[in-house]
Amino acid sequence: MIKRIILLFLIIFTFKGCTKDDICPPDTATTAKIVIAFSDFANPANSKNVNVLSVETDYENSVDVISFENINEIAIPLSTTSDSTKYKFIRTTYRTNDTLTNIDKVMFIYQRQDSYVNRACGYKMEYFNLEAKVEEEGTENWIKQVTVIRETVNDENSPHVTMLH
Amino acid sequence: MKIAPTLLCCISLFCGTQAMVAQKNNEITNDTVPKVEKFGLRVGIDLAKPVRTLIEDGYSGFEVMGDFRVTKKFYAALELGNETKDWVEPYVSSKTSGSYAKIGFDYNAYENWLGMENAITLGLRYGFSTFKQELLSYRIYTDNPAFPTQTIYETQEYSGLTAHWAELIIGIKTEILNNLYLSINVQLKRKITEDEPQNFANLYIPGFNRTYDYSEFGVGYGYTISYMIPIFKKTETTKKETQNN
Repeated sequence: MIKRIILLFLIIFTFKGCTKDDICPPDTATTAKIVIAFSDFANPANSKNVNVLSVETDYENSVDVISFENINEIAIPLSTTSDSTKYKFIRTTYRTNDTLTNIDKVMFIYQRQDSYVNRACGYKMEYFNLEAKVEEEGTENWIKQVTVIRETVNDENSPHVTMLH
Repeated sequence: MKIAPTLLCCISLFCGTQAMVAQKNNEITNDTVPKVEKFGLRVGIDLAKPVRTLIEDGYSGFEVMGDFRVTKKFYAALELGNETKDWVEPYVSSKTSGSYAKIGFDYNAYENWLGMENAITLGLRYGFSTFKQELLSYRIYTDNPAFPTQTIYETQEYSGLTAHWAELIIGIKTEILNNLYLSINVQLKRKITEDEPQNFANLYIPGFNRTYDYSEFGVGYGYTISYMIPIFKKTETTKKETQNN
């Protein structure tokens, strides 16, 4: 009886040594990215792919975040240290003779709040009162309209913003 | 495994018989030596905690314990302690300090030989702790390198926290000198309730030790030296047997 209990304790101690508490599992809901859906400007109900799209941050040292071909939904991170994030959305169109690049500057404005996740992942950032602005360039803009669907960014389940083009 | 106790048993039986034979000449037949059971208050301290205080960075603690023999097999038991512990994780670090009490009983599952007072105890405790927790630093977790995060050092204090748990404690006690005991124990704890600080969690609970995100269980150990203040002795007379003879 006693031996069994001691054995049980030893087993518990052994397995307590490495639990998933020690590393942040990749499937944990930590700081969410903003999900952007691209739709047709002529018919906003239909999603429309962007042929070649790359997104980079719009700061002194810009960082390429993603680049995709034929995509109608992207997820990009928001700054955890500032109440706004500036991005360059670069659309590249290949013609027979030349290549056209159209850069639109988009700024996301929001409020931030830290939210505890767990001991391994620490905290995540939640964003509230999201606003999205495209820098006005008249007819040069390839992004015709930006609509915020969900003002709170704390998951990546569905788009927060729709961009019509 | 079983040879040693059997042998010892035989030896003691042999010695016992020898004694009996010797006694036969001048005494009335009494085939069993009266078994004296000591009852009293046992007080002690956990040696592991002061040792850890000296050698482990970010830990200080002590624990006093007491038990009182209620019946032949059962002891009422109490532990009181105080702990301060820094807990550092890659993304959060905290400092917990507070006091705790554990109250319950021990059952001695060990059948002692004549005149010995050793014990293998199985015990249950109700544990209660009041403590405060300070969030020393934290980091925002993000899996994207575009916006690197920095550790934020803003101490936030959460005081007046409490936690309750149930504990299974298994120990071995040895009487090393007359009335002086050395014991080692392991503890398996299960949290019943706790006050969760707002937007944080209890990484450590005094008396309960570290917590786990995905489990309510906790573990612990103790290495205790204790002294028994004998209050009265009870002689287990075997009158019936003597009368039968």
